[in-house]
Amino acid sequence: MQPELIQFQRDFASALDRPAQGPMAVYRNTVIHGAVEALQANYPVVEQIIGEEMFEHVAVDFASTCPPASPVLALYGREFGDWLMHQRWIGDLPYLPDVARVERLHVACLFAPDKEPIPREQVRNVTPTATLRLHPAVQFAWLSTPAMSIWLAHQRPIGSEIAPEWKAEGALFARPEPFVVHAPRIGATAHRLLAGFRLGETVSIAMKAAKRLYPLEDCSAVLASLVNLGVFVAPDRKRN
Amino acid sequence: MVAGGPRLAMLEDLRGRHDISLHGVGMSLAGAAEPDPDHLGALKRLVDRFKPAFVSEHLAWSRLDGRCFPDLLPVPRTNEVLARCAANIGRVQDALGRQILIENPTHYLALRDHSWSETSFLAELARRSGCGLLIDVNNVAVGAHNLGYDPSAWLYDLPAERIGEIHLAGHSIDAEGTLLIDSHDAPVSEQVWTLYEELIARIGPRPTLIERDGNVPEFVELMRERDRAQGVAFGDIARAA
Repeated sequence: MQPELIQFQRDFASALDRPAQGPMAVYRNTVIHGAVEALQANYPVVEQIIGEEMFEHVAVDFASTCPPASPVLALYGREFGDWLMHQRWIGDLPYLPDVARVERLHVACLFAPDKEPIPREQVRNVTPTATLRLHPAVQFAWLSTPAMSIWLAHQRPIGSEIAPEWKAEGALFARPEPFVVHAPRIGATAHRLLAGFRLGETVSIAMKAAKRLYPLEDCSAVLASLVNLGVFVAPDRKRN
Repeated sequence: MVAGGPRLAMLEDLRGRHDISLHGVGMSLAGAAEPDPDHLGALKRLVDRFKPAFVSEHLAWSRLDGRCFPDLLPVPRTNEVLARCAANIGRVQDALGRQILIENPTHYLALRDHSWSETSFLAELARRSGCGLLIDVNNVAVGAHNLGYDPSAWLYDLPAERIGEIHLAGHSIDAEGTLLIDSHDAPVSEQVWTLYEELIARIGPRPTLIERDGNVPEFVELMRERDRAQGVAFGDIARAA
């Protein structure tokens, strides 16, 4: 135990949480701006939507509720989307929490472990009883707003007005190589397949479930497109 | 400190062409708690993979009761803190299987209750833990201005054989015009260049890093500062011009 040191640290930390002047203001500003800059780096589209000035206020509020719990700021702000949903002003921007969730998927995909995706020719040998394991960088979600369309529109170098169809859609991020990120909007069939594979369903179970739910969709073509995006790693044979 | 992706791939590429020095900010070595096992594990994976020439951290704390502060916070230099720091450095060195270098912090606040001078604290820390020292000359200049001590005398007191790496950087002045801030957003000041020359004249050349992470100028400007440091370290006046 380090009673005096820990008491010093607790007193110092309390002082950092209060407005200050002089030297304590330097530490306080650095602590606040460290969190704000990390959030800016991880949520650039949210910042573009609400503007730099408002984002900074929002980020300071967020950081006082959810300060960093890890020194690795590259991953800071996991709760930002859920936190946004509970802000009083969010009624004017109902899609913003989902846009933040999309940005979080992107960050999680970028910094996940690297792994070789399954080669396309190997997919042909996958038996119906095999399980397809998701690549560690794969991130996906089903969103009740067209947040992925909004996010995609903000990836273009020149901003333009967008009018996405107001309906639910899926977001997928895959990174088969360190510098190659695929970020398509996905439909319900692809989402059902991915959710099944994440749970460990075999190919035949996942495909049957998707066909039952979405009989008009070409589920084999959807699965093939997921393979092409590098969503899977080498399969495990199911043991009997 | 992340599991994969483009940053590690870029580092891999750099490592293929150069030696690298890994510089950490989050180990909270001067805090009461032991190093966070997850953070230390991630650092070990990085060190094992990239085999850097140096690994360094700060004489500071940044973690308390589950919260991390994105800053390098100060401590009083007491016997208790010395023992805790030496133990924490020992744990990191044991986990990594190698020596680390410890950097002198920037000072803004005159803490009471120091029982060691900073240079004797650093020297004793190195003696007890076996760590080396990373001397940030800009931190010395900023702290000397803010707390009112002689930066040349401070540098002169350091044990030369313990210094493994040097940092240079620019600073700025706060809104009230009283405190210097270690902002890394300006060219290295003439005062810091002079202190660097004095230090190198006494201890000989050391691997030197110029830190610049704000108001980053044209690359050619950065290379001029690099050449000047190279000139100071190896007495090459033509390059320093």
